[in-house]
Amino acid sequence: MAASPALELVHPAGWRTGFANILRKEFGSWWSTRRWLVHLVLWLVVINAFILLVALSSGGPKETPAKKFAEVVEVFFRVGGLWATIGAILCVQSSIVGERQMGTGAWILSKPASRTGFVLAKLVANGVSFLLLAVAIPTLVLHVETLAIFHRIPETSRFLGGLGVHVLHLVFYLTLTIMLGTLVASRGPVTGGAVGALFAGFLLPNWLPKAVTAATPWMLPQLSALFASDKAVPASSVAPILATAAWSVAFVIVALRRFDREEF
Amino acid sequence: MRDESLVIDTHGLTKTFKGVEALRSLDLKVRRNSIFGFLGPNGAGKTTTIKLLLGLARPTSGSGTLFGHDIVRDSVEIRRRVGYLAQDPRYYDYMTARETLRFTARFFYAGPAPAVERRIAETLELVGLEDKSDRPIKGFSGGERQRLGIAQAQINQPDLLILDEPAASLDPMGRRDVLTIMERLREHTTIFYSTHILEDVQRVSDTVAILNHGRLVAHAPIQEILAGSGGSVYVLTLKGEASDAQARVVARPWVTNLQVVHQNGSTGWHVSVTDPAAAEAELLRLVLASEQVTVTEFGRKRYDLEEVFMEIVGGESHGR
Repeated sequence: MAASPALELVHPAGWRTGFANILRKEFGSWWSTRRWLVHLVLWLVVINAFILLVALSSGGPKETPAKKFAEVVEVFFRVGGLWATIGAILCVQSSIVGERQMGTGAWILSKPASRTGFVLAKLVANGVSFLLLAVAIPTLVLHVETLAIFHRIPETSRFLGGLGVHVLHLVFYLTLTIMLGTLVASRGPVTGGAVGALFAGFLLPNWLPKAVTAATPWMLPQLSALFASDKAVPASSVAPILATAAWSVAFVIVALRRFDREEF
Repeated sequence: MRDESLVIDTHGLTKTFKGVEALRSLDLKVRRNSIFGFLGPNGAGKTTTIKLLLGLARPTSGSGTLFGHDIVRDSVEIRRRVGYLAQDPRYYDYMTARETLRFTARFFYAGPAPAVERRIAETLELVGLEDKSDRPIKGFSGGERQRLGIAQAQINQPDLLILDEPAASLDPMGRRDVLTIMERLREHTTIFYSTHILEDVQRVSDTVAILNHGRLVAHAPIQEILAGSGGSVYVLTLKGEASDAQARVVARPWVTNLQVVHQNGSTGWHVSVTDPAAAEAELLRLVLASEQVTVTEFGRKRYDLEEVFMEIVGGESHGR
């Protein structure tokens, strides 16, 4: 190749070919535009402002500060479990489909870039950016809020356990949405499929056998709140956590295999 | 053994979409440092061929190599040495032209940053976008996007530049600019470009292939294509009574046909010959032997690419 001697050629091989560059571009789409600011404001309002309302609302005569504090922590995970999950789905719903429809996917893949690297870069950059804005920062603000109102913060190890389950729940929907994006050609079925899976969790557990429900992520918002509380966590909570992790890995594998066969 | 002079080499390359053959058994050879015009009407299979060469689609059957690398197995390796401009290029609207080129350059170069930035600046200058380099692409005109497209395809100074309809959506000025850039680049690289603008092909290409309904119907150096398939033809424009001269010419053994066309008071002859050397030595003398005849024009017929194209593609379509 007629490269200038001063220029160093890149030499990564396999799935890493082009990965770092696409990853940097994907992070850029969050942090070099106003997207991060929009999300920051959105999640501070949806999660932390709502929590502030709950914390400042007057409870019944029997309500103690300790009960209120526990309620605030539970609301944090419940609100996050629903709204942050919908946010996560909407954030990545077009990350594969949109690139394909726009033609930018074909452009990137006409360069030395692996398809695996393309999908993983999307997952990592969107996942990390979203979790930072919709989980990490609201968590910090929650701690400031509880410290200011209740003069205490949640017990760290229990809270981190709950946070881990909450993140796993979000990762499940992020990977599901990415996978759907590799399987279908338009945004509608991607969003519909992922949001449908989320809302099915409100209805189906009433009819399905417990063993089936245990193999889904539907109980995780409840479990994350339980983990963060001072209540005992039942041994049966391990099954949905492991199942959700397994599903997430399976979704990534399916997405990579499908995208590898994609034609542009 | 592999022919080192071949940049693109395909054998029976076929692509079927839902039972429809978009490309049928394509055997294509593109030599190093040529400007290869890949012609065909819309839907002929030009873009499909390009996508197969770049690994954006997989062949249904057949095989192909670029620089000796298999187009299916070694696609990433191939793409390190290729620059590609899509038919309707799309980039990220929130990026500027410079950011787009920086993103593209990072697929090829690890650094150092000043050298990468220098390459970006040179490329922007090459395509005449230096004064718009820091504006978001969102506001770019079609011509500016196309120039950016050529810039991103050229950023790695590729051994092969694949351009899919590079001038299709441009006004005459934009087209001229794109062709000028292509002529500038030909010194360093092989250019394989698809188009249906025949005038452009005739201007810059040295080799041409014509695709119709997914089938290769012509593949030759442009001079050979322009010489036509009907042998050598000489054109004369005459004034005056020429029947004696006509009889003398037709009697020559190397003359196979003489077609007479009357127009605006003069007579045109199209003389088909088997021996161009004999025709050039004797034809004019034979005609001028008649004192009543004046010759106002004489020369070998130059085919227009459009004529050849219409003859080949039109003939194919009628034959179907």
